[in-house]
Amino acid sequence: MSLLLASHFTIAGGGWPQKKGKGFFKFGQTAIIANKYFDSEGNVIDITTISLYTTSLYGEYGITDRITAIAYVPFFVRSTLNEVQNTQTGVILPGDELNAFGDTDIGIKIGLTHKKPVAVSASLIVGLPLGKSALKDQTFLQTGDGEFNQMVMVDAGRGFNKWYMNVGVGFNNRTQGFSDEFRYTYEIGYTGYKKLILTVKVNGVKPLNNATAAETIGNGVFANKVEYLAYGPEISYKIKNNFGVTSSAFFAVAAKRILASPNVGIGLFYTL
Amino acid sequence: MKRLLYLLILALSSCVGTDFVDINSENIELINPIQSLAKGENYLFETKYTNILGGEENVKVYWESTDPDIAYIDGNGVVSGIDFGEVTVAYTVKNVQGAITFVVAQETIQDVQKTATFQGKGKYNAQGTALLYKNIENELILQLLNDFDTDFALGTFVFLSNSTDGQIVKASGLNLGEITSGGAKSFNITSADAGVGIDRYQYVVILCQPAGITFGFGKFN
Repeated sequence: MSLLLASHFTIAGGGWPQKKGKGFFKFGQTAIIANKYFDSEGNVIDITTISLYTTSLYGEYGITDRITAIAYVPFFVRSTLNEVQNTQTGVILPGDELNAFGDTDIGIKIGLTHKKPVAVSASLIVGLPLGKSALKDQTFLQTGDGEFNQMVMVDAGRGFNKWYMNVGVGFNNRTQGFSDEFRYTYEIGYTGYKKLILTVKVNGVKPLNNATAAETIGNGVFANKVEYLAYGPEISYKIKNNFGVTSSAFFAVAAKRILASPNVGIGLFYTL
Repeated sequence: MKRLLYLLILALSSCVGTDFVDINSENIELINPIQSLAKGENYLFETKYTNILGGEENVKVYWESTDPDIAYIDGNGVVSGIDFGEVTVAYTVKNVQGAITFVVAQETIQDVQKTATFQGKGKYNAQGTALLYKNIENELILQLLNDFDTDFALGTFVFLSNSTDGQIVKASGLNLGEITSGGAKSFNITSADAGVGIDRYQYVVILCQPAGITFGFGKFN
């Protein structure tokens, strides 16, 4: 679970659970293409270009008015390492690629308030290590972190006339000796246009530095002790009342142990 | 519909790309360096020039002594010990230059061993000692001593290079092999590249090879 999940909560989620029988579903594609890396001091250093493409399904479904089921399934993740060519000698060092299923998140969200101005909810999300990882598979390129994590998140959202905002804080318990994490989000959206929703979101991850496992450099996303503060816009356009397209871009302003390049995404969403 | 979805996913997921690295391989190496030259003796320096494409070339070498009153060198690379003292001899070919500092003393001693002390790069850790020497079979050996340790990632390799920049090391350094632990280990450089002399590379580098990230390096004395 990482920056990849960040773009899915915009229209759905936050402090508002789905109503019973209602839902939000998204087919998304994200891409990170990076020839820079935030090292363990937060300095940006050159690396051989690493890319990560994630094709996923995200869904929220209201089991009751207060309980919502959540799933994020990256069913096709492709990671590549560029080949390197010396332009003077023509010598080429081969690249690498990996296509696999990714780490999957499932969970529930429970509404703690009902018909109040401020909607508060608590979520429990577990990360299933279904991807290829350095931990299990000893691969440099990865589609998951290899550890089973559990995250508790509390969100509070408030809607205004044409605006809404949401704040969230969470604790992510990581296993296999990975450092646990404090997570925080802030989101503000404008809904004044008939078919357009404009959103700006801030996401942060702060490791608690209680790791017992060594730091690893893999493809720069699924590492231990990852840290970042990222922000980005998302634009969603409703083609029909319950169907639309969305695009997003997230930029890390400060980070450690993660690729230093924007995570851009496009998607199709459907609401029940 | 399934086919359309599959095509869409493929279209949005790129092929393996290519990074282009512009590295000038031009280099001049002194094959038979010395620590000291006996006063009154002559010694022929030999060099190996590598052009920008990495190929060896026989070219004219220009020699210069910083103090001809201590060591005089002629246009063919023959150096003569004139008087006791320290001196530097520079050798130039086209755009590259090398230099060796030695003393004129009682006897001539060839430089057959170098050491390097590792240091981490950035916040990465590398420590310990590397020894570069020729064994009795005249093979060039790199030995990491017992005190050697470093950070590790999947794909941590030992390289010899004239740079500590990870991308340059990856593209133009001499890869001696993967390591998965600290402690003593030995690499036969002559087996990896028979043309490498003791002065060919300035650095021993510990590299996360896939990403091209330098964990640490040591500069040979």
